Amino acid sequence: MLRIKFEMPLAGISSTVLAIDDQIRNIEIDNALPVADNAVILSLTIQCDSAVSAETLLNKLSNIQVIDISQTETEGYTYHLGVLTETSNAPVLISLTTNETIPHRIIGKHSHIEIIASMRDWNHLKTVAGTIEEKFGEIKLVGTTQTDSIGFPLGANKVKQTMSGKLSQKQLTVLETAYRMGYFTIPQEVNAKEIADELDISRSTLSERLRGAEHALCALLFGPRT
Amino acid sequence: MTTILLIKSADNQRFITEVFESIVDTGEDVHLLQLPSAPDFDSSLQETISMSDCDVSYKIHTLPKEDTATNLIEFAIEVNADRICLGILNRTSAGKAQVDELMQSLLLHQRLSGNLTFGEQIMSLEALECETRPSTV
Repeated sequence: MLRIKFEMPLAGISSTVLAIDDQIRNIEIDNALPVADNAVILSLTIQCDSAVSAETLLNKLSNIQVIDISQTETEGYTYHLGVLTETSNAPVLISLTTNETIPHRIIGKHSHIEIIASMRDWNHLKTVAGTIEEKFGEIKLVGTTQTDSIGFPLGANKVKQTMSGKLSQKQLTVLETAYRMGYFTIPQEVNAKEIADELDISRSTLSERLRGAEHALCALLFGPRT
Repeated sequence: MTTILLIKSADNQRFITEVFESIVDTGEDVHLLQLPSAPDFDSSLQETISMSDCDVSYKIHTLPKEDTATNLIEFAIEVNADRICLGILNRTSAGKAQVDELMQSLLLHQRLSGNLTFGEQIMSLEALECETRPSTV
């Protein structure tokens, strides 16, 4: 099985949302649930570079039924939306699934849609690429690798996304670096100083960010301290 | 079995080593194909090959025309290639082999089919079937 990352022209709800405001950086389809009458419920994450109000989003998306909208806690300009819309607003997703491709990420950016998807083999890749190019225009293959596992359709990044709403980017970076360098293994493969050096921050800053990340993780698991 | 390894840059020694030591079997033919866009690395290629402990016959070519997928396919037909190996020069942040323009043209070319497999640093188009150019007569 092949995991393919590629770019394609904007289409569907991605182009609608990105046309709302230049400050909208990207829109990602986190989940999709088909419902009757050619409709689909989409979970979306919209990230903005600076303030774009929820009212602006709702006003400009008046042709789409927004079921729910929420803003993340630490990343001030990130919104999570649940929308009910016609499948014609999710043409890329429909094209991929109709062609028996498993989409892992569909991210609309200003110049293109970035897609990560699993396909059976080389011939399947050619078939899917042909269909996409015929419907939407030229694609650009970015990367490919071989994989034994199918992986999760969409939402594969959901845990990270949930966390990225609860943890600051700096806390996430510290946590990921510490994890990757083996700070949490027994025995430890690196000490705090080595991680701090790697990130070019002081040990006290490292400690503060790690504790902040651990606190946020506990808050997510156990709820607020009462 | 006949294998083509595309030589695209000076940083190809590691690819040659992997192809000679892990991909091709004794007695196979290997065509090291330098792309016109790459400088001439004949001497360094031979040095690398002589250092690897393998018993395969090899030839070094330069693609006579520009490095397009179509010209490459013509070459593959000419040498009756069963396999085309491409070195993975760069990877994405998630570890995927980065696809350049030539690689994309090969992967999506209608005249080329087979299996796509991955080694440590080599992407390999295996069990290659190259459809000959339709006759214009």
